[in-house]
Amino acid sequence: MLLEIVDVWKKYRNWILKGVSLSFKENGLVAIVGKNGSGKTTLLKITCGLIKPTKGEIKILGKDIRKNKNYKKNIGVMFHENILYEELTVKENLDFYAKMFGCMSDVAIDVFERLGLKKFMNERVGNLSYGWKKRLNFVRALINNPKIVLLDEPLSGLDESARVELSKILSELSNDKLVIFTSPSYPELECRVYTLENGILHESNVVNT
Amino acid sequence: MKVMWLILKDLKVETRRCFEILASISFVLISSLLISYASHYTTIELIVPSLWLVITFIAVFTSTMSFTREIDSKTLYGLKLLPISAQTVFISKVVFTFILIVIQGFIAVFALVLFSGYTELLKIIWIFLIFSAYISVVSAFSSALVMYSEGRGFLMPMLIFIFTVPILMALIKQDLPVLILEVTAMSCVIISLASYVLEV
Repeated sequence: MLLEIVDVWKKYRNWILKGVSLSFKENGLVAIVGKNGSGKTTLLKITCGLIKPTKGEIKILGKDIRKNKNYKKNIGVMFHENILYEELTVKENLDFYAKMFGCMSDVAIDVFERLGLKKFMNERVGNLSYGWKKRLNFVRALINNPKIVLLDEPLSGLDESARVELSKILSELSNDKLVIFTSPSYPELECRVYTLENGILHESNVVNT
Repeated sequence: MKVMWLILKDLKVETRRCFEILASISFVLISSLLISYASHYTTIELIVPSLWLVITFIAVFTSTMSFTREIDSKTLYGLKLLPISAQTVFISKVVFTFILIVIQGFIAVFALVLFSGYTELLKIIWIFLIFSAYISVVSAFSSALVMYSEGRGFLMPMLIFIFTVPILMALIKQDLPVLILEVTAMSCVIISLASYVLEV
């Protein structure tokens, strides 16, 4: 089993997630659709281990992430916000993460070139626009060539051409990775769709382009 | 090796925001000048405790460059997702803080000697280094402890003061063996607690 989300509950003031369970045996493209504040980001952060669930557990490659810290080598995460160092250049940021993971995957290099980031190599991240930062954060999530890729609203805030290219890349990546992404609306991509409503996850239909 | 990459990254980020370091160095120079001037009208021995006070202020200032900055810029998420232990991240922050405190501390020492002519200060350089090392641990730990709190501007100096109290007597008496013993014991406790603070 690649990823198991077992009966996850999360409470802040109210219950954000109410017994969410999901499991994925194979690679593929999965969308989690929900309105703002529906708990998509919380579910993603719990899945990658950044937030502790109130109840429930996450297993990556069959192992509970609380007991096995090595799981971080198998996941790549992109958040809605920029998590790169604004004071460093694009190259310095990617070099830093490559050194920390001990590798720079061919996938990341390929995506970096396809998304047109090469021209910003020596530009400080702080000087880039929101859309370029977003593309760069996507590349960062692929540096370690992870088996599971978690993306928080990867297509929002991008121009049309970038959205088309990124959608294409997501479909290609899903051939040998489990790619889970969140979206506020139904994506125009062929993928399994789950909807998150009032903290409860429902399986929806397969969406075709 | 990974600790080194983390420290280099922090130093690089800090040098690109040099206006903050310059503000801190300005504070060190102005304080040294005022303390030296005041010591001519009071007692010259006042310079030593004043130096500890300046270093404590530097530590408070530097604590805002540690974990709190990572959480403000959301880069802490990136750090937490790296395949390294929380202790590795903590140690890197301690060394980074130590480098900043020692550089500014040395500026303070030399400025005090220059402005006051009190060369005795150079004889306590070991005590200065030990205190700087300890306060770096305290500064990084305080920053980690309160990074999620809205009241961290108030809490950080309070915590730094509380953690400094146990070594205060040995520091003021300039009792090197006792200071080493207390600093080692307290640092071990703080470093072992740090992983609990930083783990999810």
